[in-house]
Amino acid sequence: MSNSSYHGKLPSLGFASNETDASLIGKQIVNHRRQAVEADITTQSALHVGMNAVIDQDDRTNALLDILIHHKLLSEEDRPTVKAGDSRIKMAKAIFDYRHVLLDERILPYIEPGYSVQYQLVLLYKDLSSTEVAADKKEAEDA
Amino acid sequence: MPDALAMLAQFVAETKGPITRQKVITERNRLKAARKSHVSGTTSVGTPPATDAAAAPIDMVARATEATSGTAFNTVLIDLRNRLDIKNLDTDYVRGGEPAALKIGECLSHNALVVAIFRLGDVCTLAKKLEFWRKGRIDRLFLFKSMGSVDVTDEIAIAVCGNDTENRFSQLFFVSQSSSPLDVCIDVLNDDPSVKLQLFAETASPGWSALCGEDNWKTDIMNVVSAPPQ
Repeated sequence: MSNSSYHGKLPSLGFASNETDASLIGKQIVNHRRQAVEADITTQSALHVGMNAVIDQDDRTNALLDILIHHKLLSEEDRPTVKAGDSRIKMAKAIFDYRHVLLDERILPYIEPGYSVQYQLVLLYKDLSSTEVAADKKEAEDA
Repeated sequence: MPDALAMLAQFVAETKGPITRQKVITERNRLKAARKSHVSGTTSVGTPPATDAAAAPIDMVARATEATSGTAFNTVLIDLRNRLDIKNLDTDYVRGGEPAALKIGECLSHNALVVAIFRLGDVCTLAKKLEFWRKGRIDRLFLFKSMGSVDVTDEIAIAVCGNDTENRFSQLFFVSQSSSPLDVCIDVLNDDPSVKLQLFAETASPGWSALCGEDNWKTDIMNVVSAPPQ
């Protein structure tokens, strides 16, 4: 028998286990995912802001990295790239910089948790922005 | 023109199913291709949704397919027996800097059948790169012949990856040892009327388009895919 520290207490589902109101159940499931996405964006933002705060102090940077690596938010391979603002830190910064896009009510309720898909959405938004600028410029030239 | 956020919202709203990383990447590629076409004055930039990974091939790939049949490849045969090829393949490429053999995965059809010939010891390298050819896993694995020793790393195997439950390998329980693994695969797939592509080929087989030799490692795949010999 496993000796898990988990004792079967889930956070509240938002509905009783015998609830049959599909509308209520659906609403709660969607709400849980929304919270997961919000928590993800907060995590990435905290990663960027927190790393930025200690980046000039090697001992504190290493202490923070130790925690993040221990909890598998980062891998040991990320350690040398952190100061270059590369890889995960770069993604975290992009998610932080464009959190207003991801948290927009037209976007947030429909997207999946996970920094990887959120980062790609940010890149798509930037691509669309540059297309928009190019189109406006062309319209101005045509005019 | 609607603002970027409105266009992103439109993409999110109209995409079928969950918004996955791959769908967003496909949409970015489509946008990039559309922008290039727009510059050359052929099409306009819009934001139709990406419904799956097969949607909207990038322009480079589109031109590569135009060079052959004008349609996406349905069957791909990858010969990874050359040690140098597998060594080069086992590299983490920067996005956009992938070699032609990987980039061309963008023009495979959604349910393409991918067949790979490789040494068993290289299975991890093959598995890592399957996503470039739009595959998530190996569905069937055949040993080309009985294992000669305890060390199986050099044994030749044939991996079959297909999205359909039934494909030409589904009913195959063993492969003939009388010919080469490449000949076996060509024999099994040859009468398949789909658009077929060989990667890491020495020469293109009749009825197959091919990326031959060093062309697999070029970073620009335009004009490197040979049309099938008749």
